[in-house]
Amino acid sequence: MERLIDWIGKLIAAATLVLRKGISRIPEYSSHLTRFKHIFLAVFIVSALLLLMVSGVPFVREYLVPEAIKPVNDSVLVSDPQYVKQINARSRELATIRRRFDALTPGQNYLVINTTDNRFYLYRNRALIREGYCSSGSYIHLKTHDDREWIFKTPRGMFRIQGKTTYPVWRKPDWAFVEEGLPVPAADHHSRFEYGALGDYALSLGDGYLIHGTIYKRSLGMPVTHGCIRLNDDDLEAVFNSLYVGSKVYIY
Amino acid sequence: MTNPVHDTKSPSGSESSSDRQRIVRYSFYYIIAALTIYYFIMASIVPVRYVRSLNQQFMPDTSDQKGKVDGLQTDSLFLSMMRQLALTRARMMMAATDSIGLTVNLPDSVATLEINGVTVRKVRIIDFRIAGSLEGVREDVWPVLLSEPFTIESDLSSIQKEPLMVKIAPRDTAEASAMPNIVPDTSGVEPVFYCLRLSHGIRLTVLQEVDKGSPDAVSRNRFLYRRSLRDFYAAVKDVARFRFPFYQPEIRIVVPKDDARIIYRALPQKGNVVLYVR
Repeated sequence: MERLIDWIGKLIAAATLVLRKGISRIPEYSSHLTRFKHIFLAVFIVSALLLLMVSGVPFVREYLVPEAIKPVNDSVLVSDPQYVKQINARSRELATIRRRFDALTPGQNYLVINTTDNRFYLYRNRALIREGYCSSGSYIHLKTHDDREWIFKTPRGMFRIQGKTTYPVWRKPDWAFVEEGLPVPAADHHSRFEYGALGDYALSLGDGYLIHGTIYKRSLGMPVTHGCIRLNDDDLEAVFNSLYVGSKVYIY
Repeated sequence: MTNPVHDTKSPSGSESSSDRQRIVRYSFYYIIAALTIYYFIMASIVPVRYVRSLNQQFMPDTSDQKGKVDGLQTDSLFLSMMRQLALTRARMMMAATDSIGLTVNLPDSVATLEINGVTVRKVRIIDFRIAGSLEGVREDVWPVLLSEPFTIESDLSSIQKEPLMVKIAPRDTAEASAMPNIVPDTSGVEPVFYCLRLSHGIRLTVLQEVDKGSPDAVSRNRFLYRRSLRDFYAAVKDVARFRFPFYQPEIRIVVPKDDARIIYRALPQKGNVVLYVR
């Protein structure tokens, strides 16, 4: 114990000397504390100070702010008619604004798509009636050698069903050819049109984005599409029959 | 043979140079010590100053209140109604923005992702912590402060917002068939931690739930320490310019991993966040 106290004392003395004279000018301590030990001590002090500044200060300073006065539940005011009037006014205002907010959720059927987990949720009268896997945009950034580029991601936000089609025909966009290393044909060339690739139904969200079926059922639940939403046959039929033109689709 | 001139001049020259060195060294020590003390003082003052400015900026205006009641601003029932009004107003405003927003309701331990006022995802908050300095915000100031959505100004995250993968288009069909199919990563193995810097200088930190001693817990500590170092660097830069150091009170929430990732990916870069603190 005595040795420890002695050693701490020497360390403090050395630290004082380091500050007073610098590491190079303390020969009188060279027998007990080598230059290496002094450097170690200096590094230790600086590190401790840094640690305190980085972690300790943010922690400690939070508690230096005086706490605000807490409200009191006072039965004194209850007898004041003006107070009752104020409370009633706020209560009415709160009820009104809550009603307005609740009205934002559609009472009709709507669809919610989660593009991170690739799942869909179908609601009727604000109750979940069906859920399952879907596929959404792959986040592939396709670049050509002549500086054309596409990003295959599903847009997020609120959309409305713009149109509904049975037995849709896929009119292949330019990227479908570019991706396969094929020359891009004219806009109305027969090679642009593919039958059966989109399943039995398609619901348009606008800007070329569709909710449709797929022949790649194994990839459902994964982000593999060019921006459209793919569903399996049963789910697609349920969604097709539940949603109307104008129904809302929320994608996040 | 020695040069007498050299012999007599040399000791006094080296002495003056060593004196100069000593002065420089002392000055350096004193400057460092002074800056450290200055940093500690400023760092201690800044939360008090921050809370005071919030209290002044968001003080409720009661001048046009009809039938003014003394003590109304400290009445718990009135304040509770005002806070709920603020929350619903803020959510209404967020719904009008047409983008995806986040509502963090700490008293109910629930976070919700909303699009146009429709809750598309409800997340259970497992744990939360509010910066001690925010205890200094007056009770009547909270409803005013929280009555508008906060805007995300910047973020720091352990995951990518959009996991883009670049693919160079093949020149011909032969090259296309030789190209490996890019299989998107759906494993979701990377730990999810992020800080959203909100308007009015508040920071919302979202951490995934981790088991004690797990590799994810190590990643979390590394993330938080890296962030502390960034804050410290910003604070030191401010102190060096004789400004008040960087300070952001933090609201920290812990949510399940999948939900943490979903929230981060869904929120736009400059998205809105509604806070309901108490």
